[in-house]
Amino acid sequence: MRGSRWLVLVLGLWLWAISLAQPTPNTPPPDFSPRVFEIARELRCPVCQGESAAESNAGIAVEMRRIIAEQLAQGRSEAEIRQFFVERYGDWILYEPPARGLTLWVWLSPLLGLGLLGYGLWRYLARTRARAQTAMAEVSEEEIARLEAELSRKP
Amino acid sequence: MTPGLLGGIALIAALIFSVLGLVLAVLAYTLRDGRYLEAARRLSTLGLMAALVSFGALEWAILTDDFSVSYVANHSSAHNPLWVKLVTPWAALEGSILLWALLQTAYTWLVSLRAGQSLDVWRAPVALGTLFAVQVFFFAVMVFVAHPFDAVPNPPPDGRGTNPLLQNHWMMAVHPVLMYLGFVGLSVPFAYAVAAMVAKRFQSWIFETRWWTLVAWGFLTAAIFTGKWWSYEILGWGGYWAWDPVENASIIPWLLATAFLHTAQVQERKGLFKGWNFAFITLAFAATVFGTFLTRSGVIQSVHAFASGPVGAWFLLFLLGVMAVGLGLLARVSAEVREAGEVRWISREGALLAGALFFGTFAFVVVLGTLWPLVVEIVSGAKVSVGAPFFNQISIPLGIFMLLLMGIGPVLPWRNTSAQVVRNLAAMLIALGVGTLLGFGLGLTLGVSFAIGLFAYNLTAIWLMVAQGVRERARSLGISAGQALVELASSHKRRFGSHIVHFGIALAALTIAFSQTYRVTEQKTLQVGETWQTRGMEVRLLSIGVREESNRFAAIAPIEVRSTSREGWGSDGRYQTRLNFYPQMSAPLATPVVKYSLYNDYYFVLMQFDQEKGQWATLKVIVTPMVWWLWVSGLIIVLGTLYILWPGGARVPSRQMAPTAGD
Repeated sequence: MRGSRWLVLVLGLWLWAISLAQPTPNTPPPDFSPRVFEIARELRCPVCQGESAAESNAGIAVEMRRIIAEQLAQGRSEAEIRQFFVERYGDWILYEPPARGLTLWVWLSPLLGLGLLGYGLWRYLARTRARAQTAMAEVSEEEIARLEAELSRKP
Repeated sequence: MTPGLLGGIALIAALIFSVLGLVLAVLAYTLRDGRYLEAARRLSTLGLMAALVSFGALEWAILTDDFSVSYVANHSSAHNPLWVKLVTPWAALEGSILLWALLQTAYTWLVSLRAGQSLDVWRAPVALGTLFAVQVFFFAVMVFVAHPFDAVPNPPPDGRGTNPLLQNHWMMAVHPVLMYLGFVGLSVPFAYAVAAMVAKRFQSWIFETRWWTLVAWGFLTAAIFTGKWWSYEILGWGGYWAWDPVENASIIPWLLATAFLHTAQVQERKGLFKGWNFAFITLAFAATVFGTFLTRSGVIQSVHAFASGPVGAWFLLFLLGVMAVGLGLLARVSAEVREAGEVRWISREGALLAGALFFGTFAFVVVLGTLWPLVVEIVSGAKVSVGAPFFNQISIPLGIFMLLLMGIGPVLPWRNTSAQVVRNLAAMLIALGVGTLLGFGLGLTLGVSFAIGLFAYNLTAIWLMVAQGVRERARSLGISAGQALVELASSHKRRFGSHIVHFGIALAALTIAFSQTYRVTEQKTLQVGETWQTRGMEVRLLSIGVREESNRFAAIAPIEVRSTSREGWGSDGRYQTRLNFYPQMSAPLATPVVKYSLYNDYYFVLMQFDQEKGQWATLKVIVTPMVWWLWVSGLIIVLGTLYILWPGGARVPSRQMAPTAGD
């Protein structure tokens, strides 16, 4: 046990050396209830590459979880906490884009996609159907005319 | 000869062979001379061999710790275990382009074996030429921009090491290779489509292209599932799909290839939809390049972008080239293709087209959602995020429609609707209702209950299809039901394979609904010896220790877990939660311990620990239902694909066209 304590110490020093950029204090983080993670999952970790505040281990994400836990303890609602972060970072912090302005288009994209593709499909099918019908009518008329011509020439 | 020199020479040789192959293919097409085609075929073999030598040289350099090669110096280390060294070639940009190019030469070689046989002499030069052109791009990028064998003037004593995220799980040996096999595999359908459009063979290309697309689709599916698995077992957040740009890049070609696999049947059957099929294939291949551009150019940041570098602009040019060739030809062709025919919506083809509509829409949404933050930033300068909560919500309605269509499609006949079909549909709707009510009865949420209903609905559809076919055959031939099933399954491989794949998809949808709805994450700091009662478990922190391993340090906190109620059933055991410290990373990497059970998964992550006295540790516990079944469903889908592709049975086009007893 003594040996492993010593190793922990060495590791601690080494850790301290490599993590000068973001020093982590040697105090235990607070306990987080499931709700903290549910809220944090909807928020972007500002310094990470595509990770939410629930996933990341970066200092700022840990801090965000701490703030969420604190505010929940103060009895704030989910919407209020989200607003708190939006005021500091802007809409960018929300992984769910607001359904207004330019990002409204993202929400409309399924309808837009269905509409465009559906319209294309409908036009295509209408054209093939029309072609099937006219082709049949045309061919038969032509055929009839040619047949009649051939028949009248023969005798 | 050093590995660096050998690899560099082989790369240049491969580039020259590719250029020559392209020239010969063009000559074969313009001069209509079979001798040029024969020469181009031989060059594809030479290209493959040169790429193999080059790849082998990179492995050689890594295995012998030759740090005079820049790739080895930057991305490997003498301390890496053997398996990490073996997979290091695809741990960073230059090496993964080399792997991509190697697989491309292998696919080109496979296609060359068919040239002059199933691939007729009119199309073969164009198809081979297209694949050679793709090869030229990749080898040129390596020779001129991202050279894996650049020499280091003063070789360091040790390399900078491999990305720790990739060293942390053996799945990284498999997942990228599968992904590239899928991505590169889509170049063959593209080449066939180009050949068909140039040679104006608009119908015959579809049969073989379907087969090639299914090969690529199978690899892509396997890659997506192994990627989910890696993400689940390594990233330590308890999820498997984050709608991250790299993940989106892999799902877009998958969706488009899926759309093609369905609409191709309409073309096979009725000769309709030729233009759409050309478009789907072009877009699916373009999407693989688009994804690579997106994630390798640094335009969009991502957790998985392990290999960023200076190749972005090149990939953008290549993407534009692919789109220009594919859609340009399509525009020319669509003036000539005059299809005539009628499609009724309440029929198999109607369901197939509606399915393609939804796959296409889904792909459109993913592309738009991934790019939109860029667009907004360019237009207004504002920064926005479009992430998992958005995609998850949008996937629900789209997924429901697709699951409904997946059940209806195979049940509906190509032509007339009979009383039998109406009875089948009624049975499926009853299953949908009963399943949903069952979910409600168990106290589940509306969404999950409906997911159970949809699963029952699809299961019923598959059961009815199989049972009715078997009963008919058994009765008409006077054989046992078991024998009839075996005979039908071996003579209608496509049909039975698609049943297996559809079953896998239905199961995957069910597990996704459960795991996304009922995942719970909790975090608590424990003193050594302290017990934490949560989620029907007793979690006791036993001790905290440290271990030095060849390529990393590890802090290890063993815990003992006992289940105390049904909620924690299956969680019992002793687990070594650990944090890995890699010299090349500033933050430690948590390696979660995952205990799977038939219902809940228990996920323990060491978040932080007392670095001074070793008295406390902070644990994160994530409980997620049914993730194990998601891996099972992935396996089922891949096995179903394999069943369809396995040689023998009904793969002959003429038999596919014939009406079948199972229909």
